[in-house]
Amino acid sequence: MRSNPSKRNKRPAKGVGPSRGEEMRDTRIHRALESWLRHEAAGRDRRAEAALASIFALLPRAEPSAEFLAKVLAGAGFEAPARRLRAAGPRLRALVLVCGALVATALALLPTLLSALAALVRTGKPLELAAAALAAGIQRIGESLALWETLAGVSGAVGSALASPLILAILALCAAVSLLAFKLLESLLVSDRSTYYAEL
Amino acid sequence: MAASDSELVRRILSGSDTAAAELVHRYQRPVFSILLRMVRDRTAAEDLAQETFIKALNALDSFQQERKFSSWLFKIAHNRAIDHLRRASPESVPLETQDEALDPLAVLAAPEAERPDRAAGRLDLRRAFQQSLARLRPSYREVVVLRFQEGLSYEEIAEVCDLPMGTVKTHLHRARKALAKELTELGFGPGSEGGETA
Repeated sequence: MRSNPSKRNKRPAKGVGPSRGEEMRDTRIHRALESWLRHEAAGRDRRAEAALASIFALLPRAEPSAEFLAKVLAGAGFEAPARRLRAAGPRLRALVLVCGALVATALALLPTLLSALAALVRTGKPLELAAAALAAGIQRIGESLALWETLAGVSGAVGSALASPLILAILALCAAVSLLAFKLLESLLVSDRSTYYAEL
Repeated sequence: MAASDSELVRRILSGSDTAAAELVHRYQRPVFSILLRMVRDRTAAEDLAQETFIKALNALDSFQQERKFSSWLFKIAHNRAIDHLRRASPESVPLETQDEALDPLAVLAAPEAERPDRAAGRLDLRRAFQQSLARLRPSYREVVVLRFQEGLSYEEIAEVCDLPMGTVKTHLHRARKALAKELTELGFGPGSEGGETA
């Protein structure tokens, strides 16, 4: 005798079997199937047809891909309308509605905000603030100019000293003595250099 | 309230993109579902459904508005499916009976589906039903789907499938009996205990 496959699959392994919803749907399908087969066996055509239709109503329906509508409209030369809100998921719909409400509120508040801004401009407060900022900036520049003045005085004194022939002669003499001393030092170092000490 | 099919057709004819989208959205699932049952290949069914709608939208001015739009659309889908099956693989048409060999949908006689009785141990109820349905002769399967899944009347099925009304009734009756026999043989039906799972 053939065993009953529904009975055999009665207790699926945890985590791999059908969900509770699927089980309930299977149960409904099973009852509809029993009813249909009973009516078929009894030759009750109308009832059998109704029961078979109820089985089909319980079966999951296949759907085309999400791009189907756009492809068809493009293929037939129609413009695809903007994505419909009703085709979106419930979360996206809620988000769009919240955004819409925020935009509407902002639009409603816009005249009030604009009039407040206009009043602010009329009282001259922004101009007052800008003038104060400008004055502070100029004061800082003045303070830095005083420092520059000192530096410029020092630079002028050095420049004028360098311009005299005596000072220039002294500087040239110093440079020549320095160069000579450097040369002597170098020769001393080269003559005393020995690998003996280096090997220690 | 949703616009009627004829109202949408009128609006499409006067150039409304929105009405076209509405009409396609309304019928995309049934058309795809019927074609999938017929060709049993998702990609092919989607391509055929696309062709069906494009042809319907382009030929809408020839649609007689006293007719039912859904029947006209399903007829286009039916014709597309038959053309596809004729092109698909004529060598795979079963030659068991002359009747089947002449049936353009006979290539769909579940060539890859194993015998449900052999695979019964692995089948759940839904699969058993779907496989038994798939094992029906394609012409039977089509009328069953149109009648019981889409709820078409005998007259509408006759129009869609281009069959005399008597043939539609005969096909439906035989299809029901064949389906019932398959499922009874699998152990489903009155007295079986699958309903205990609730």
